[in-house]
Amino acid sequence: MSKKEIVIKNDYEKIIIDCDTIITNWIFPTFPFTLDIYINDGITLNSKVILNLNQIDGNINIFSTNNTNCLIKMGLKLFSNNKLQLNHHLLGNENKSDIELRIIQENNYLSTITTLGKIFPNTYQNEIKTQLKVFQKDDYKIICEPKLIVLTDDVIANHNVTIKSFDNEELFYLESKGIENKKAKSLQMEGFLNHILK
Amino acid sequence: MLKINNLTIKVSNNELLHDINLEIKPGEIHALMGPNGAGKSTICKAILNHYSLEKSGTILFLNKNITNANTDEIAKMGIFYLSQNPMEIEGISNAELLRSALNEKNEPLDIFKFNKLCNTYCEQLKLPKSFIHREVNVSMSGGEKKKNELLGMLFLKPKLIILDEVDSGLDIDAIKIVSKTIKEYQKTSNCALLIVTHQPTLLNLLKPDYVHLIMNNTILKTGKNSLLKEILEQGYEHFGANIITKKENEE
Repeated sequence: MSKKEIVIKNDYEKIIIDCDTIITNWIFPTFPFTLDIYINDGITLNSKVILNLNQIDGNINIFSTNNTNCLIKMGLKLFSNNKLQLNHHLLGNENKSDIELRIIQENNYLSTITTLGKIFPNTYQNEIKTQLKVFQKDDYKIICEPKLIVLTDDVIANHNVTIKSFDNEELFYLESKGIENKKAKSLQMEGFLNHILK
Repeated sequence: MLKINNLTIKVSNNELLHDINLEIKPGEIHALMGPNGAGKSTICKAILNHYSLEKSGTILFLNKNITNANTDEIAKMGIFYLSQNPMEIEGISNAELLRSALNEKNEPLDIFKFNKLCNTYCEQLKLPKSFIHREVNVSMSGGEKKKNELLGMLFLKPKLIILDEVDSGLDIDAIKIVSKTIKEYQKTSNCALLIVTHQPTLLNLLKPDYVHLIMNNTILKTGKNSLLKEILEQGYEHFGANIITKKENEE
C-alpha cells in the first residue's frame, strides 16, 4: 500500500488512485473547493483519520469504476461553520464502499455534513454502506444529511445516522476510576472519534 | 475505615433501602448477601455516590464524610468499585484510561515504569502484554473484563475494594485467578473488601470475616461464618419467616 497525504491548494483538484493507497491525512483550504478522486479498476483506497475542520467549504467526489474497495473512516472535530459533502459515485460493477464519519461540533456554530452514495444504472453487485455518527455536545447544532441514490436493482446499499450524547453510566464508570467529570467527558468524546482508528 | 450510619436510599422517591448501618475496618472482608433485588448493588453504588440515588444518613471513609462527595473524589481517596458488568468504553485504551487516572491522583508514572508495572501485572493476571492497548472492555469476554478491572485495581492501589458480583459469568479457573489476585493484593496492602455475591465459590476462596444479610430493605442480620453456612444451606426463604423480630448480631 502506498501512503499519501492529500493537500488541496486550488479550488479544483483531481487525483487518480492507480495503486492501493492509504490516505494518511487530508489538508483542506479555507476557500471553497472541489476534489475529485478517481479510483482505478481493482484498486483499494483506505483512509482512517481524525481531522479538525475550521471554516471548510468543500465537495469531495469519489468515482469508482470496477472492483474497487473504498474504506473511509473520518473523525471530524468541527470548529466554526463548516460545509462538507462527501460523494461516492459507483459507476461500474462489484465495488465496495464503506464510509463512516464520526462528527463532533465543538462550539456554538452550525455545520452541514452531507454524504451521497450514488449507484449508476445498469451496474451490478455493488455494496455501499454510509454511516454518519454524531456526538451531541451541549446544545450545539449540526445538520447531517445521508443521501442515497440507487439507480439499479442489483446492489446492497445501507445508510444511517446515529446521535450519541454523554452517557451517564460511562461517566460514572470513568469517575469511579478517579477521573473528574470534565476530563471524563473529554475522554468520552475523544474515544468516540478515536474508535475509528482502533 | 468505612462507616455507614442510618443510610436510607431512594430512587425517584421510592425507598429502596432503610437505615443501613455498616462498619468496615482495615483488612476486614465483608460480604453482602441477599436475594435478587434486595439492594446489595445499590449499597455499593451509594458508597460511590451514584448519580441516580437519593440518600439520607452518612457515609464516612477514613473519617471524612463522603455521602455527597463527587465520585472521582471518592475513588481518589482509595475506593475501587468493580461491577458485574464493567462498562465498555470505545476509543479509549486501557493505557490511556489508567494513565489519566494516575495523573488525576497526582501519581503519574513515566512510560518506562508504567510499562514495567504493566508487564508484571499482566503476567500476574495471565493476560497478554498487549492487553493494555485494547479499548476499555470492548469485545472482551466476561472473564477478560474482570481481569481488566483487576489490572486497573493493581495500578490504582485502593484501600477499599468493592466487588459487586464480580464472579458472575466466570468459570472456576477465572474465579480462582480473581480471588488469588485480590488476596495477594490484600496481604501487601491491608485493604478492606466488600463483596457482593450469590456464589459460595468466591466466598470460600476469600473467606469473609463478616456476612450481612440484606432483606426487606435493610440489613436483617450480621454474622460470621455460621451465618454464611446458614444462608448457603437454607436459602433466603428461611430468613423470610422471622424477618421483623430476629434482627440480631452474632458478633
